[in-house]
Amino acid sequence: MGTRRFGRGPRSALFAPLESLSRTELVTHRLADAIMLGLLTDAEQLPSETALATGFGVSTVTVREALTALRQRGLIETRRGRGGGSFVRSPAEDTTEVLRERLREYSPGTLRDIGDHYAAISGAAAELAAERADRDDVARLRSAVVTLETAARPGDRRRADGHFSIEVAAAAQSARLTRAEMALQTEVGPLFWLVMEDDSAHGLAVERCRALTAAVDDGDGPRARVAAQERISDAVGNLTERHLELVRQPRE
Amino acid sequence: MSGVRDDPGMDRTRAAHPTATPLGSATAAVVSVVRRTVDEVFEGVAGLRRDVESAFAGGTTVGRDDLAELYPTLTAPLRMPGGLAKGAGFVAAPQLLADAPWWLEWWVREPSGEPSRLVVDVDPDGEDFYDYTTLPWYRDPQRTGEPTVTGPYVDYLCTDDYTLTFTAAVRNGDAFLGVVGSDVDVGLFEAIALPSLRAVPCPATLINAHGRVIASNSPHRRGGSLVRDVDVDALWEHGTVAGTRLARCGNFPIGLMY
Repeated sequence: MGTRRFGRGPRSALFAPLESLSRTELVTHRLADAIMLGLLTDAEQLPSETALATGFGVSTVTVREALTALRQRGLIETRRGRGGGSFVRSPAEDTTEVLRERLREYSPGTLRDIGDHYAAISGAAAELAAERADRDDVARLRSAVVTLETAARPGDRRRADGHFSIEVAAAAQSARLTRAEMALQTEVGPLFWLVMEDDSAHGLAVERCRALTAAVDDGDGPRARVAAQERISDAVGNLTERHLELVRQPRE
Repeated sequence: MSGVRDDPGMDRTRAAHPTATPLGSATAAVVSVVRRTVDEVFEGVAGLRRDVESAFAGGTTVGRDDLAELYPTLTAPLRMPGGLAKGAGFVAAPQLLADAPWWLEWWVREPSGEPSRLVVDVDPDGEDFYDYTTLPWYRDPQRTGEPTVTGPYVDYLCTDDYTLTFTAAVRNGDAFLGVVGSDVDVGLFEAIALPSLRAVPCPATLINAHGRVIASNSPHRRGGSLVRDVDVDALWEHGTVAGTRLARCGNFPIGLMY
């Protein structure tokens, strides 16, 4: 099977050649993102290893490693023999289901602890940002708030929310806090962003981000820290409620 | 230096009665070190600009593969042992390349010696995509046409390091094609400036246009923090405010405050 049917629309970039220094992780990330974002839908057959290798501009060994990684994550399944190949396992509609399942497994105490860690990082970043942000930094924060406010789809909201937090950490002039923020987003971001599908939670997040930006603009560190901490606290509260709701329902 | 005693927060006691010559020659030495460093980085950037401009001069369509041919020159600043640049390359204006609407041909120095290409999400629908045209290192040379020093800032788009970025616009006639540039680690820049800063017999601090501290001989001026006890805008405009002076280090927004 060729890659021709992937050649149009937003999916065309998906199978565009990768850079010469691409690695297994890059192929894995690209495909995993596409599956999580729903660009590749459930039960869809992936191109053959050779076609993927040609499309990505990598060796078949690299593609094989990436497919193994995706299989281990349960994102594809491979059938052998006639009509065999690799098939997508997680449709976009079910991505939320995967997250819900993960949320069910976290206890309220674990959620609280994740929240404490996140609040420590983002609170410190916000307080330092208030001390150190210049006019350009504040302008970028404002524009990130507008992007978050106007984002309608959960995916866009999630991305905008992530960008805002990274802008805050960057405004703090701390490379380490920025990396810590990024690492937390990778680890627990998807879970926290589950709340973004809820319009009122999205509205509240926008309000907190606006308050945080205003505090940074005023150079008011303690107020910025409180706004950042409240933002995390809102999300943890929302997630804990959802968790309790989930465990009340019988498992299928 | 009449106003120095009005500033109790800073240790300026040694600067109370400086003879003009040692102070003047010490600050001139800092300015000269900074200028030499900045000039060296911009020399490399000018080389990149010539190469990228000539790649587009033919008027034919240029794609990613054509940029790959620029690899030897784009990575030249990164191969120089002991060179300043830790990253260098070309960032294309949106829709410029035939086969990639957004593109960074950006390379980073590696301990092994062979530079590696920085892989950034350039798919506008991608999770980590970022519209780089709004960032100062891209926007400012585009607006002004002048070589630009951005930072210090956390370069979250590329290496997540604390960085100074030196960029210049690339043009083909009137058309803006993007920017070429080099990244320098703030820590390295600081290390280069510090010996000359330490020879200044009073608190002396390198700042950018916003008053952000790049390097200082005083522990009270921390790298990355903003100078808030001096009117920095007025300092840049007049060169002296209430006994604090600013010596510009060339035509770039780096100044020595003392």
